[in-house]
Amino acid sequence: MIINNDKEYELEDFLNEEMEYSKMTPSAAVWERISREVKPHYRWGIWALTLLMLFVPYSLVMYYIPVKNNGVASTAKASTNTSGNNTDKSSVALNSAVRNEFNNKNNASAEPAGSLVSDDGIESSTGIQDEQVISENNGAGQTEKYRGDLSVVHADSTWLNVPQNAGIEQMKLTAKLNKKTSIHNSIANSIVKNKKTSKYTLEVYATPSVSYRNLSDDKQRLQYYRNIYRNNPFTDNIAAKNVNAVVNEKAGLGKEIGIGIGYKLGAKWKLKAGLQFNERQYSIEAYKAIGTANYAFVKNNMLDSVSQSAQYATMGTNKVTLNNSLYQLSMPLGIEWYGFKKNKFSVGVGASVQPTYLLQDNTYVLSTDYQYYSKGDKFSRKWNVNSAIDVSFNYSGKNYSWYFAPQYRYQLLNTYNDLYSIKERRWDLGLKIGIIKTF
Amino acid sequence: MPIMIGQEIIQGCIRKNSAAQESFYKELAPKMMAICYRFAHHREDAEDMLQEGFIKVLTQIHTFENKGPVEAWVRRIIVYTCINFLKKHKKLDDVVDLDYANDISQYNENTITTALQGKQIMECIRILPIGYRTVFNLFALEGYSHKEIADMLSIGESTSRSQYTRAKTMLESILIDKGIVEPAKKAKSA
Repeated sequence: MIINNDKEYELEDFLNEEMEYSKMTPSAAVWERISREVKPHYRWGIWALTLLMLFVPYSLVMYYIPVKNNGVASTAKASTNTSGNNTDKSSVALNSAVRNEFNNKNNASAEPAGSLVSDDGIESSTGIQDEQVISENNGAGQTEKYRGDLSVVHADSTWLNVPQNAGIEQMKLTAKLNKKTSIHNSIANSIVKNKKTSKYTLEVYATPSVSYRNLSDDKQRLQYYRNIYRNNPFTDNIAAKNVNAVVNEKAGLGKEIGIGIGYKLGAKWKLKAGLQFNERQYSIEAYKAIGTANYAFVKNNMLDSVSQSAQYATMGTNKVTLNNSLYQLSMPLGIEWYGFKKNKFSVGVGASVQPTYLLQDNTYVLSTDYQYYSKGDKFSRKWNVNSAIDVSFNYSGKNYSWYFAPQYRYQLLNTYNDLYSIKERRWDLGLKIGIIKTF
Repeated sequence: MPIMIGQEIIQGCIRKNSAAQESFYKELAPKMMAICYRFAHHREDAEDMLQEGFIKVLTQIHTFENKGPVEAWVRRIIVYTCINFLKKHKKLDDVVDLDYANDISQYNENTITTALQGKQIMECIRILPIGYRTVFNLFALEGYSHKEIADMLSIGESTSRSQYTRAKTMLESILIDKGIVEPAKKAKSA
């Protein structure tokens, strides 16, 4: 007993009373270090999302903005207006190669060779200078002048637009007059080739799949068990068991549904990006029992644990089936190679990397003493990465293509965080079925 | 009286809301820092213990089951963290020098300079050798049993009891010597 301020105390009571209000202010750097550690690591995920959000509208915008192809406006259409005083600029434009060939090879009553159209391939709004046309006797007493864009200029300087078909005929006539049939063929073919082909595709698909998993226990934790609980037959039993044998599990049917945008790199390669919703399911056989599920783990070379209440056990008399499901959002980024093409059929091989975010987890996890099951959502990582490969069998129609593709998808990172020391890796086998639209 | 933390702050911490986590930390850190300081060799160690402890608290807050005040739950984690820290850095391996332990004049008069009684008492506790101090903190101030202390420190239960007895005697002498307390005329033995 001691006396303080004329009061008698047991030493412990006195100290407890004094220490109850004892406080010390830590330095500000302590909180800075703590907040850095506990902040969720989502930065790379946000970058990936940001890139996708930029890529999707960019690709849509690029589709709608006219892109010059070898100096020719790709959205140019042939005008069908053949009459009237019309300065409509819409006419078939020639690419520079065609233009030059036409100019160079056409020597029938031609003005000195020169550019028949302005360099950018688009009809000048101010008209075309006389030296940019060729003149030809049309056999009806009129001198017709032809511009490279196939407008016909009459002697009275009235300009008419010539329909595309009529233009080809005119060119055929010109070539025939010049007895240069090769000119007409190359020009006509060039016009056909100049038809716009987009490199972008839009794809929608669904993949019914079966999900599997493999568990592996933490050897370091098992060694700590042996050290702490020496000669304990129960602990030795855990160490000797294969954790996959403890869990009685059945694979379930899941699915992936997605949308993607493709960008063709030539005839055989395509880049792809998209958004995909994943559902995985499996069931576990368990028994009803009330208890505490302990989850031991090793951190900083010390054995630590967390626990939560459990309602299911690995052994018992009252059997139940625990349905496990989880839902994810992923962003497949991949490449596809079309190795074999014949007519409308082709076979391709694709691979992708899929950053994945866990939306909802309704799974049960085994306690580290292999006795109980309890809810696993607190142990699951929010972010993960999947990889996938598939072999696609494609049929190309007029505007759409269809395909089916057996697919293997593998989860690269452990499903769980550091609090749960039993590691899980998942993989899926599925059949992808999709439809692709080429713009 | 335990510090009461509102449910909205706890829920915010579970959702990993930064503002909620910071409020939670600021409410509890001063008291927990004092606990860490009692276990640590010096202030830097105490801050390391506090940092490790709160990281553990904030990452495991979702396992808190609301069956009592959150301060008691946090305090338990902090104490375990302190013990693990001492073990990891081998600070509990210090051999207790019995001559040192018995001779209270070894401590420097200048080590206790604070005017406030609570802080003076804390400094007196910190004078104890690390092994005695740890057992004393756990039994007298944190309320653990000798069996639990033996498990935590990997020592025998009787070792825990004897170390506590010696720590208590030594601390009483220090407190009396500093004039913080007076001996009771009819003091009971521990």
